[in-house]
Amino acid sequence: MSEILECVGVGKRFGGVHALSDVNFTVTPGEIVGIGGPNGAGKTTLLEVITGLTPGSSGRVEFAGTDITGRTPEQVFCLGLARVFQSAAVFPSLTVFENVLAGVVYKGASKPRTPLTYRESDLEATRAAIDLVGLSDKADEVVEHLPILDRKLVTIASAICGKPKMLLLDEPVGGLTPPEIELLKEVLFKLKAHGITMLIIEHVMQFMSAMVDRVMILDAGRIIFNGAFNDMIRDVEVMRVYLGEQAAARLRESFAG
Amino acid sequence: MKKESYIVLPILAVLCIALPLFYGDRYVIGQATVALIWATVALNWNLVFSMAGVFSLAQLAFFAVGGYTLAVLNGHFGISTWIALPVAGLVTMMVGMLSGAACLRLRGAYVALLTLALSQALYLLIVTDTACFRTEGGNCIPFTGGSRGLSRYEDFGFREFLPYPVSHIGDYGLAAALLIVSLFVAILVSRSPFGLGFRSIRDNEQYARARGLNRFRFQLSVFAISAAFTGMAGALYAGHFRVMGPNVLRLDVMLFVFAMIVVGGGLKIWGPLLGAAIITVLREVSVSFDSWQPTILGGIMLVVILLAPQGVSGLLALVDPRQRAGSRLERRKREGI
Amino acid sequence: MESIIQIFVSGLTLGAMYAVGTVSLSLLWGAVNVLNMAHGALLVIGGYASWYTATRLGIPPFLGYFSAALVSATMAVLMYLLILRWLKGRRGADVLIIVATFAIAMILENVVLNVFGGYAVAQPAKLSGGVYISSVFVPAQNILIMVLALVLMALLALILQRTALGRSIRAVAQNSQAAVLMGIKVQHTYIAVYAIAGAFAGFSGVLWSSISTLSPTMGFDPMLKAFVICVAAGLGQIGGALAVAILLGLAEAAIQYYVGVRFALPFLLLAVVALLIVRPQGLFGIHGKARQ
Repeated sequence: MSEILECVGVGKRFGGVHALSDVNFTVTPGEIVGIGGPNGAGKTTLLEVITGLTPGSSGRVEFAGTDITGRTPEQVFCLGLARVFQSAAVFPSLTVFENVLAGVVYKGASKPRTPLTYRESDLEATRAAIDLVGLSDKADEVVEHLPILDRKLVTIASAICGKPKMLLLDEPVGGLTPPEIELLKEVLFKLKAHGITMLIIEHVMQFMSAMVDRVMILDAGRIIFNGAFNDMIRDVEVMRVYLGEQAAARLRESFAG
Repeated sequence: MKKESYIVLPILAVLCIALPLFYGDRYVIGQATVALIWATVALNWNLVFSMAGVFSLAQLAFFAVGGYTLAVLNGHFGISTWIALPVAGLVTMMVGMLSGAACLRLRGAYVALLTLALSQALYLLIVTDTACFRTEGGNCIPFTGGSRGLSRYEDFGFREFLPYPVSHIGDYGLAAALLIVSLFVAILVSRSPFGLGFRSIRDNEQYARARGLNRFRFQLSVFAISAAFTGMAGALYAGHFRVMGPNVLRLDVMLFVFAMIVVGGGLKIWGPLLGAAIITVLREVSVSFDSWQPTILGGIMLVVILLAPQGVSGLLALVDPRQRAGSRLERRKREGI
Repeated sequence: MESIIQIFVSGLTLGAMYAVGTVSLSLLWGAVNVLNMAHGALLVIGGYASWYTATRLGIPPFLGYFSAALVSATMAVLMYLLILRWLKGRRGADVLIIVATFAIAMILENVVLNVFGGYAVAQPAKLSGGVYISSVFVPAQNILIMVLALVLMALLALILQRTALGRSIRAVAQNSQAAVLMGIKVQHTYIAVYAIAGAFAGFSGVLWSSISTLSPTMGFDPMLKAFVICVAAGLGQIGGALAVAILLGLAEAAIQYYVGVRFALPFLLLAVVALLIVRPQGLFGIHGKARQ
């Protein structure tokens, strides 16, 4: 079994609305897969079903050889599948250090631990993760007052300090300026170098093209494209529902070479 | 609740020791003992609010369970009050975890309503209890003492094993010790991984779940800690007054303790303690308007809620310039400017 | 057979009274998101308003229902204008509102206690006599309560479904910001909601005191029952609350008859806790819409 993540026939209904229908795909270890598609296509819902925040209506999700269908978000995280939320979710009243620390202390919730002191290894992992995203000099600042880029870095650090096997990132560069995007890209490249598998939802095509090994496009809850980025920008269906003629033409131009 | 410093512990200890040295008056010590007991309840109630983020109104039911446990164990079964005190803590902890498990699946207002109803059900069951558990001197004594309460049981017996000037501050010392230990535990927890878990869940529950933190388990443990100390405070109250009746479950008592949290402010761990001191002094000062006490208390609470929602401790924090910058930013964000 | 009739008569009477009180709570929760802990105090104020106008001002006792509704509605509106209005939109507003209404309740009841004394008095707005169904005596007041409850419910349904005010209330309940954009005068609508909720509470205060007695603390038990009903039905579900109110009235009468008065509330609570463990959003609440 070579896949790290496998979705088989995953579907999700909200009342009469089919948010996801018959979604099938696999991700192999070390792979970086992008997910695109118009708003309301079901991209975020897919992440929520995978991580157990909203249970799927049908289908099966397997992660690293374990069936995680119907598991709680806590269990999914502890198995090594960490999610980075779209809205740069943080614990606003906590400091950067505490935010990241919170991502590691309860990761092995089933293991015996003393609830009153921190393990030195946890503190070290926290420092390492903060260092990796480059926030070491802001470690003691309260997150509430930090700019959006730093908050995004904080949630990435808290996701990786528990040494997950795979990251799910929901629009990691949404709302950032081009230089900020470059900075975040560097951080994600470092993670890629560590061999972390990633599934990334993103609309920013320049970023996507630089990061991913493969792209999937969702529309109305179905996967309409699954393949290389360069093929995607030539795909007629993707052009029609998502990119539009002109944008696709521009993308083809910039990535033709 | 931010990560708390241990510095409030020695301050509290010094204050507790200083009072009998400078105002050894019997009446003052008596009132101070009761104030310390209520401060313990307010402190632990606030843990449930601000750490677990659960708006539970069951705290005085826990207090009653602790008090009745001591009264029943000593009065009906002749078990020493010194053994009954920790047992009361254990029993209340279990009751707290049970009611927590029933309530914590619910959110916000639902929890408030259900816990209020639970404590009222307890009140009604006690008040209407008339079945004789035993008879003493021809008097029928129900298990809970019914509406008249239980009164034939012992106190902590300080008069017997301590010499005079010290003996009458025995209960006071016990109450002070309980409050200090409880405060220590609260600070310890707030600084531990446990406390980090609480604060994370309160800040953003969905995100906390995505980082492996289970709300139910955390909140249940806050309920357990808080109930255990509240139960022991109840047992102390019962032992101190040598009478335990259902009136501690009345709404005006709940308002009284609640006022301590509101006036003191729940953002700081020591806020409710400050509140307990303020409310106690206020009650002493306004003792001549006794029949208007609830109106005075309610009015003060409304003023505080409207003008200083973080209470007196919140106002004191405003003096600290770092916090002021923070809260101004927060306010601006809230008002969407 | 007689016991069945007995249970139905007292159960339906209880259910009718629960329904009137519950509507007040449910309306405030559903439309303006306020959990009103002063509900019991509004009942008391209404009960005493009726008693005062009848015994002290010499107005015919049955006009007491109107003076009760008027005084309680005024009090509820004042409560909003003076205090609750300022808490809206603050961080942790729901908890602040619970605490504030709790404090208001204590003040109101304390004032009533100090002005009118703590002794229970009889409610003058009350019918005497009654009829026999088979051999069971049914007091006329019980029949009046059921009829009045029906009339009030019909009136409320009419207001909510058929009038412009009802439409604005429903709009504000769904989304107050959008309602502002649609040109609805939200402030006026809020005041109207408080007035209606207050009037219903005052009315229900007269009903309650007419079959028991009037005292400064009489509001607590009906308030608690109304809470339990609202929670069981799903907060803010007015229609559902009515059904649960009747059901609960009947269940309570049955438990009182077969098990004993003192076990009625604990039994009902156990049932509600069990229900909520299975359905946290209540019987009629919509899943995922349980307010935080």
